[in-house]
Amino acid sequence: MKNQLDHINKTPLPFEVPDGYFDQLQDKISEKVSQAPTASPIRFQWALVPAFVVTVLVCFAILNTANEPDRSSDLLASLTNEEIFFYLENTEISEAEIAALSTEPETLLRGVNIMDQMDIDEDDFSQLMEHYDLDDNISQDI
Amino acid sequence: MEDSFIISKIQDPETINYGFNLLVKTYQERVYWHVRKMVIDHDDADDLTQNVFIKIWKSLGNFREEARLYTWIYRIATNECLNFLKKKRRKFMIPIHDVAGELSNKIDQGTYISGDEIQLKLQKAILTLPDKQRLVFNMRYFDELKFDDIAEITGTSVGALKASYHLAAKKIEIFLTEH
Repeated sequence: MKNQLDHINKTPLPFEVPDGYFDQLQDKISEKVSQAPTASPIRFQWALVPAFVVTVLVCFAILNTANEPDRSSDLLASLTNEEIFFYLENTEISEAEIAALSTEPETLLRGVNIMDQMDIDEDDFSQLMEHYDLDDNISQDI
Repeated sequence: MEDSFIISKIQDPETINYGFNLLVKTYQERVYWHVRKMVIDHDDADDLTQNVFIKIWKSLGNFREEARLYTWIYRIATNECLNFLKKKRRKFMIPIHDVAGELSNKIDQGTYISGDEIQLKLQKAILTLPDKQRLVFNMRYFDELKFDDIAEITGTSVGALKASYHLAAKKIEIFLTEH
């Protein structure tokens, strides 16, 4: 069966071209090419421009979003006092956690013994103090 | 014309136009016939051949010396053919067999078609193959390219190409026997 393919004349192909076609083809290509720039390194950099613009826009959008005022404060403002009191009364929340949200935690925590709320024994506490080298800090403050 | 000579000319900004003209002169017929076998119609092949050389011109800056010029050119021409056939199907929403039928009609009724009955039958048999298999068959059977070169052009393994060619030849033999 394979004989059939082997016995067919491959060339010439059963296709023709107009007379003088290949003589004119080079001229047609030259004419079109004269209107098209080659791929130079400069062109390659231009090709990166859209990607660069997108990158700048994405960065701008991210930074802009980061600078926007905190939406949580807007949400909190929309709540009534009763709703906030109800939430605080029914939620287990420590003074330390509240203090962490405050801009003046020292004022809020004055008179509150934080150590009572921390589950830490005395040995661990001593090690912690040594680790932070409290004395040095104190001496620096002085 | 030696490829190395053409490459040296197209890589020098002073002689790039001269180098490109040499490239066109050397490869225009090979590109045209490679394309023509795929699209059958002369006018389509003419448009595509010009597009291939415009793409080559625009991509000259991307050509790397370690690549072989003729496989690089064949690759651009091959992609252009596949994109053309894909667009044709998408544009007219026609399935593979109808494109093959349309191209087969061009063999029967198109202009600039010649050859004896068996050659025309062979072309119709080739049209029954999927596009990529058709490309592989044409490059191996008519252009007598090595499988290694076809692998470089198509980005397919030699083993897969050999299998594809073997299947294509089998299908064509069956077609020739039955028609």
